[in-house]
Amino acid sequence: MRRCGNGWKRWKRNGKSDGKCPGRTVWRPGGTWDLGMKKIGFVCPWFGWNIPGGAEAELRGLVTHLAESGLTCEVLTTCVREFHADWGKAAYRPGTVTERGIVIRRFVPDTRDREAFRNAFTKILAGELPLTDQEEAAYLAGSVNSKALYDYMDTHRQEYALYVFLPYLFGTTANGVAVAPEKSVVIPCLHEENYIRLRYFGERFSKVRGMAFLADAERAVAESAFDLSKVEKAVLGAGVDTEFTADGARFREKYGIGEHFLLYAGRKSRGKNVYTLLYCFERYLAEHPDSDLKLVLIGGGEIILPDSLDGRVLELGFVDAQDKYDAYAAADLLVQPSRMESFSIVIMESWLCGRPVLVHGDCAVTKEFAVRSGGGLYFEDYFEFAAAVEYLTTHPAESAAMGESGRAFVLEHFSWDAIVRKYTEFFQRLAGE
Amino acid sequence: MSGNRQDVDRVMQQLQDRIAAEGHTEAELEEARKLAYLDGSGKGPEFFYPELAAKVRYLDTHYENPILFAPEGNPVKRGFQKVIQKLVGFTFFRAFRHQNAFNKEVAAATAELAAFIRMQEKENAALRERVEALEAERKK
Repeated sequence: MRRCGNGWKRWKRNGKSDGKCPGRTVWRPGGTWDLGMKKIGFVCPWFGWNIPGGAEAELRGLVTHLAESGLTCEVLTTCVREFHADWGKAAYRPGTVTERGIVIRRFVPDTRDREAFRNAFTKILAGELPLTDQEEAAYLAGSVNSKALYDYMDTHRQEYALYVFLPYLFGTTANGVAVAPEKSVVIPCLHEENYIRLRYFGERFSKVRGMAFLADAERAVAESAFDLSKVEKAVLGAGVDTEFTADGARFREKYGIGEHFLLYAGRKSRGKNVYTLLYCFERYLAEHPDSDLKLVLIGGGEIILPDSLDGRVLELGFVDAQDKYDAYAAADLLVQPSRMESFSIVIMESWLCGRPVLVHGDCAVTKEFAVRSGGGLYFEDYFEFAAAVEYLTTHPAESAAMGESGRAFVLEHFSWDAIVRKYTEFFQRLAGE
Repeated sequence: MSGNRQDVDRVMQQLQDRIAAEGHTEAELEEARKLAYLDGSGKGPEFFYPELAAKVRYLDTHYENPILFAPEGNPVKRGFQKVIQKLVGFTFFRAFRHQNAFNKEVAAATAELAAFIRMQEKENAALRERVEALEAERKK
């Protein structure tokens, strides 16, 4: 048998021969990684090419780009359709399919005790913590789970170099990592919220092999909530599509907007703190009667606008991707008022279009990105909001420089090439040690 | 990293110094902070009428399920879909109409409830102001 690098020692030490030598990682001239390692199984509660959600989109992008780079990736998931569907109901047929070159294995979800889950869920939302052991168990048992999936992972563990779980919140992650903690990597996609205080997460996550974060601030939150002293940690970020063009003039012409405007892109809901933006904007206009500033909202969701904002707010609903990019380029700045983001693709896209951002100072992740990149300002009250909007709309040179700083930051850290390289090195390190 | 990275902390410090120089009262600062937390985080108002109103508006415009779908696909598929719709129409369309009528009633009732809550909210606010004014008068 051919001897090749450290893999041989590991193979010999473990005494678990599958007839294949693990091999050594090399960078192929064509630009792909030859890891010489087994498959990576990405475990998630649901998987589909069009389902909404930040973590879902991140998983799709990561799996696709890692597979393109030469890594063998599989998706291990349940038959549940998506977040808003019934978590105990199989919408897909269980089995294995190959879509876009990715093997997807779907397993039947377990039946759930919804009543017990709802009781625990209500308490968590209301901040009535800590829960009792029974309540925590009921919460996790009532989440998305699949015994068939866990059995498969257990039986086939030798075929996989690592199991990668995301996001942290669901049963497939919390219970899935218990199957093979020594080869489990979690990409938690978390932010400061009540769920992270559940003891169950802390117990399970303290034993996993590795944890990958999207931002330093996310890592800090995780380390404050869980004991990760024995866990290999890395801040790797998330991938952003950088290959697009944007034309602000085209957007202005198409939607008939001649004035300066602030842009909000994303779901319009209270949870995203959109009302803060509306009411800060309303007060800003009241205090700046000469301003011609408008606010453009793109994305789904329903909100009610104050009467005083008639004619000053343009609600476009869902727009196609090109219009969205054009909107970033046309806007004076993008406002991201949400306080609970674990990454925020929209601020990255705004930077790629050369426009600065204004984020909420209480959101550690977006604030960190704004400060590190030099790509935008932050606010924690109305006065800061007004001062930042005034600064960014009346200092075009500084505003453009911030947009450019942000763009350089995204290209350096979050282009898919950079992300694939970072994740591959991380996975290889974990699988190789 | 670009050599032209903007110093955000420096700009924020300038803006914060300017705000401090404007000499806002503690009450004004408190109000400004409240405005930044309208996301149900507990730092803003607990009940937030605009959110309820948005949901009511959604119900009011989405209560009706379309009974007939325009057939899609190639001519064979479209023809097949038309035949199926005609065949099942006798039994299912009536149920759909009943459901839609029921949804409409629910949407209307919810809108009335929301309007009532709004009225109560305004009355409560007026009463609170009145009580505060009376208390201030009594203290004098």
